[in-house]
Amino acid sequence: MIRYFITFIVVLVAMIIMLFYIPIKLNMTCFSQLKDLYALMSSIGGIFFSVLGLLLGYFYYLAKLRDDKNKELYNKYVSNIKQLIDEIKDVHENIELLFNTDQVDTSQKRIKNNIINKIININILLETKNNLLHFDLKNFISFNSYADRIREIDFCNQTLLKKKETSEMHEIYYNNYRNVLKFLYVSI
Amino acid sequence: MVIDVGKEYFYRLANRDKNQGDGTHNAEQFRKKYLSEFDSPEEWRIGKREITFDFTSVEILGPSFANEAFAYFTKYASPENILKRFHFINISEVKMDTINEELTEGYRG
Repeated sequence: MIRYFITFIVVLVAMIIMLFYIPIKLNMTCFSQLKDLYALMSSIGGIFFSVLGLLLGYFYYLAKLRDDKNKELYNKYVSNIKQLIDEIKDVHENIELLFNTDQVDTSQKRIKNNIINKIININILLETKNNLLHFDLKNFISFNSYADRIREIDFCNQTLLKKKETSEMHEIYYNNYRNVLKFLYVSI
Repeated sequence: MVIDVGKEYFYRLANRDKNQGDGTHNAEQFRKKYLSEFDSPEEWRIGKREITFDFTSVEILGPSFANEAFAYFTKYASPENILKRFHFINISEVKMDTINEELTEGYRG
């Protein structure tokens, strides 16, 4: 837009300069000669500015269309990221619940079902929206994989060795969780 | 051999075994149905079999399914060798990355 405005100003200034320059260059001293010249210039200027006005309006319309489309795309992008953040936080809440549950088998099963459903939601979201998100998927796939690994742990029957493995896995999972969230927060 | 996974097996591949989810169409059954011939160290040492999975109609692939169906074979071969003999066509980036991740991290059964 600024480019068009500057062009307009330059043309306007050039015309004002010409208004004084031409009579001086042609040695016009007679009033009728000047009157004819100004009449001619004003009619040419009128046509020129009308066409310029139309062109500016057209370009403004195109720029506005492009802006609206970009805004719409950006809003979709932000809403997809927010949805991803919500799903990932849900997975994390359920993983934390799994670690802090009273280890009753039935409540574990419900939490585990929630986790796998959320993991699948994240995959679907990434598959259907990645043309808009253009993410490097590695962080998300790794997060899903480790969340799923933890989901499969039998927390009711853990030996000491298994507990050590679980805490190592939890550490990796937690790093993945932080990386994914950081990545998403930076993306907005 | 080309398997149209979505049509010949199921479009939703999420359950590892009969204990997960509703237990149907699980990865264990899938592996026994289509990949039983690959389930021996000899096959991976001297065999030449190859198989192609067409994922056109597959809508969902969970990490645990990918682990049980494909990463199971990491006990016989490296991920690179597995991918030389298991071919995946018409598969989305997310699903292929899921398979790659499971192959890299190894079987957890």
